[in-house]
Amino acid sequence: MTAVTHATFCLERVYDAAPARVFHAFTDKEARSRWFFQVGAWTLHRHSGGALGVGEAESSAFSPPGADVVITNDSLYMDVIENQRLVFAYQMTVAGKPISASLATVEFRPQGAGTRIIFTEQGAYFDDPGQVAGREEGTRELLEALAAELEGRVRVRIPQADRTIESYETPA
Amino acid sequence: MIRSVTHATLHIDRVFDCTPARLWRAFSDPAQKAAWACHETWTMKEMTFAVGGREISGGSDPGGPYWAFDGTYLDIVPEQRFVVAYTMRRDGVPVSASIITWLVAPHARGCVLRFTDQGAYLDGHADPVEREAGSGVGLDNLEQLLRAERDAAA
Repeated sequence: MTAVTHATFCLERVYDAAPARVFHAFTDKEARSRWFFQVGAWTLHRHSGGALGVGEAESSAFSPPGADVVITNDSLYMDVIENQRLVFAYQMTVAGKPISASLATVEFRPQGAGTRIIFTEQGAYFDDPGQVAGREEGTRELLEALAAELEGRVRVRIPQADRTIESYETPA
Repeated sequence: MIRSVTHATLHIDRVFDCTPARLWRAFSDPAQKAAWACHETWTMKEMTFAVGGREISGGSDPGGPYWAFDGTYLDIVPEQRFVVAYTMRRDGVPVSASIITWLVAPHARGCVLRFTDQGAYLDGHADPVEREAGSGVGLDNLEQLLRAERDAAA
């Protein structure tokens, strides 16, 4: 039997922006190229689809900074309630090999003048069970990148002697 | 309207007295799939067993709501595993979104199926207990189909 690890994780984050703005940044193609695909730092080989609607798909291929390995993400919107909820299924490959299939539920709830996002991923992770912790951490970083997008901060890479630090800063 | 989501994971394991290859045909061949997953009031509208392919079926009891299953295959490893994402709608209203992992492996008595449904049940319209019961009925039908075939060959 092929090894499959089923796992669920749930992340919450509060944003200082109204649900309509957070929902727009989450789904808009231009905004996504910044916070989700990190163009500039990552290499985006292709990015198609992404129209907002049930049954709509988004397909992409990208490589991390300084690496040649190609990662793909194929997403399918399953439930869309504008400014309130997004449910999508997505499948990922690394170097042509399927690594996971997941269902993600994103709830956008008003909190004061801001928005609380509740992100729940239910996933089937193939072969390496260590992927679960990595996916959760990667998703946490994406929710941070979404905060930076909403606050107008930009991703910067600061070269050091032995490594590169990635951070966000507000343009002058 | 107050929106709500309930998340649940359902596991069902079944042992079948047949080869993994035979069980796989019951999932991958549209006519065979319809033979156990559909019945008088539930019909298969479309099925393309390939990554990105769709499985669309639905039905209603007399006077009851129309239930629609709309699935898309996300991952297929022949005779070992496939994953399908699907929504269920009742008279057009989405009641759930889920992914199911179907794992097939050899077993001392034939082969074993491990069925895992990871679902998001929407706005109180559906619940995981009913879903688990419904999935079990489908697998009972599959078991009967395979047993009848084996008995006919004996």
